[in-house]
Amino acid sequence: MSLREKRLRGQAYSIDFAAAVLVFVLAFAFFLSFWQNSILSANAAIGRNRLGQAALAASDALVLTSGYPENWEANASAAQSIGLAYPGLPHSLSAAKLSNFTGIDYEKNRALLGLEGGFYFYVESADGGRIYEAGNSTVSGGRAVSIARIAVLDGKKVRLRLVAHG
Amino acid sequence: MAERGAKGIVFAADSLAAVAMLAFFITGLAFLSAKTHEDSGAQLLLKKQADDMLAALERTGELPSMNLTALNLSIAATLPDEDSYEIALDYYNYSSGGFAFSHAASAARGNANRSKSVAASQREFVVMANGTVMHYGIATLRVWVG
Repeated sequence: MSLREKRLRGQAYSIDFAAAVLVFVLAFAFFLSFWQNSILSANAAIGRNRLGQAALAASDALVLTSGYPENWEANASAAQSIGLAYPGLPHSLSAAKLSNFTGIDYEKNRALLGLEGGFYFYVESADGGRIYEAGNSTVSGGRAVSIARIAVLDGKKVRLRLVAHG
Repeated sequence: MAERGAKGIVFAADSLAAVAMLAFFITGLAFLSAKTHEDSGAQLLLKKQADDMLAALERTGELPSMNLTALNLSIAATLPDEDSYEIALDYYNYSSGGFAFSHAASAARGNANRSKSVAASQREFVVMANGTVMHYGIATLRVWVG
């Protein structure tokens, strides 16, 4: 084997090696970027799902329970959990509870509903007229989840909308 | 030459195994990535809305009214605009201590076949007149977005 042949062989190997490294680096960079995007997007989805679950649980408490104590509307400052239904009558909302709920301090309401971010709540009749509202309608934090529930108020069907944001 | 042939087989098996592993890895990654984007709460919310609607219709006395046209209008006005639905009612007549199927009725807004996820709720009710059970009914409400 001549010296020239040996050199040529060595060069061919290094070109192969360089090409392989280039391909590997490109593939690795692509994978890294894909991985980074996946993590960011998964984090966003987790945050959105958490917000949705918290809003759904809060809407359940409002529509299906009467809160604790059951007559918390008599002394709203002593309320430990908020519910708008008559005791033992899920879906039947009490006007007294509703008007007291909308009168409670925003921060306290937020804590009672178990929401980390902000919230906006309203009750509207079937024709879209708003009967009660509470909270902050300005969405903060870039994420918002809107939950619509149906209940009965004074013998008529109403829609409750809870928008959780943050 | 025999050495070359053997080498070729080894390389082909290696590369096949490597490509298969890479394909499995990428498929798994894409699957997990897609899973994180699924909105797990959407289906649950539809189910809750269907439950709410039937409970509210029973509380207002509309469900036992046996008036499908009024029921349909009421549901259309109350469910959020983004929801489509199908209400199906089965009525049974009460006579001599038993129930016999009387008739079925249904109404809808939208086409459930076009939606991937449909939530359903069912409620049983009785129709009474002068303190006597006249009919027994089963209401099924299917709700979907679209």
